[in-house]
Amino acid sequence: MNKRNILIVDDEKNIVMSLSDYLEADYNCYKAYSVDEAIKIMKDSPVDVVISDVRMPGKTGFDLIRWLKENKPKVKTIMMTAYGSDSVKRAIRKEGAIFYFEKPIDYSEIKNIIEHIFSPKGFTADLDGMDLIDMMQILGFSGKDCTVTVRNRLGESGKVFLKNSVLLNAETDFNTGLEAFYDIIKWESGSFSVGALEGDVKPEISFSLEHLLLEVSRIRDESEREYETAKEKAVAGDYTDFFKEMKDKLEECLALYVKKGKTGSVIVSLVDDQKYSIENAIKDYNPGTSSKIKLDEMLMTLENTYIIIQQLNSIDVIITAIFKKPCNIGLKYLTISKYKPLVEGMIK
Amino acid sequence: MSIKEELINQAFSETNDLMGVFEILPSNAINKYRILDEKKHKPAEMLPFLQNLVSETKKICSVLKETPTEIIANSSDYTFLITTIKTDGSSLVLMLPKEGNIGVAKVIAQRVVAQCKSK
Repeated sequence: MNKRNILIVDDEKNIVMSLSDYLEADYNCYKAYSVDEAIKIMKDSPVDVVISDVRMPGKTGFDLIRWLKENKPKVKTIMMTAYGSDSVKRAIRKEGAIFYFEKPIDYSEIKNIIEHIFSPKGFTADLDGMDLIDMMQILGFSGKDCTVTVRNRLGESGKVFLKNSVLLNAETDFNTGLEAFYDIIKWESGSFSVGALEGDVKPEISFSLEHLLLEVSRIRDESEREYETAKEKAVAGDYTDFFKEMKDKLEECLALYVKKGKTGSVIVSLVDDQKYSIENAIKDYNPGTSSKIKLDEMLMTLENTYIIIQQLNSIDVIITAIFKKPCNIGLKYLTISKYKPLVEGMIK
Repeated sequence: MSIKEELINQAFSETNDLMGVFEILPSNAINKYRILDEKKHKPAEMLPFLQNLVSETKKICSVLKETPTEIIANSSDYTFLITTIKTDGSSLVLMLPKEGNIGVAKVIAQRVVAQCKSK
């Protein structure tokens, strides 16, 4: 499938370069550092969307919108401004830009808008308070051919591709196929948008959506039962079994340590491979004790591993978990957060 | 690394979330470039916290024989984004409020690091 063409216009070269770097995996990006340069590019090259700054030396973003209206009326415009006053916003709307962003720009939001522009028949909705499985069921019943883009509250995104009630494929930043579908369906809150089925989807799953959703419901029930069992063990003070289950639940977890902060005494040490044995290094580990600022949680990204450190300051306990890269670290983070109240209740 | 003043100014002009910029040297000494409102966000509390955090992190990395590329640390009031510059072992630290926009901070950090490397 041919890539769509985006033109980025800003006199700040850093913004043009970094936004272009961010978008160029999915779109052809043209770069211009003035309105005159932008107009010259558009006379010579096909452009679908223009992303432009408002204030630039010489001609402004408003001049560019007016030129587009007269010469390239089908080109959509997104405006960026560091001066987001109400009058500027009104002026942007009046001139006909379809969307505007205040600087600093969250590039993922711009990407969402571009995706929305290229999926004009889609709709967007807020997923909070609604079960993703229910929404998938509705789409399955409708037999709609579509791409469902889901974003969780940590900003990770995934796509589910449906055709005639069949799941063709799914993808996240870390997985494709069934694994990606199960990752996405585990996300508990976020937002989604439904657009036209993308033309270049490689069918990797091709299972009935109804069958898969039943399987997901079964897995969820099982997961809830496991959580309840872990809760019972936590109440009974059965540390080792409780943390073993937690480690299993985390999947791809190479090592899990639980220690007291001040004394350094290790409560639980579960290590798959001695290579990841960091017990001595974390023995005295207690950042924040020498200052008034207390660490709550930390995510370390190393060359080959991720390390999540959660400090439960109310009970002076530190949980350290090591994961092999690549993995869906956002999901691990959510899982550890889910277990935190149980650990707090168990260790006093 | 020597972060240029112009890069710091640009970073602050791009986001209201940025509250401070620091550089941690390989010796674990800290260069404080700027903290907004030093009466409220006291360097005397901030710097020992960061030094302690980084030295403890180094201990773990040395056992695993790995180099950190990025650390996101949340305290009750702040989020710190620590980005390693591999060429000289120093790190750039961006200080944000607890619920600050980490995505924007990452973009700023990547740009500052890239420009420091190219200079």
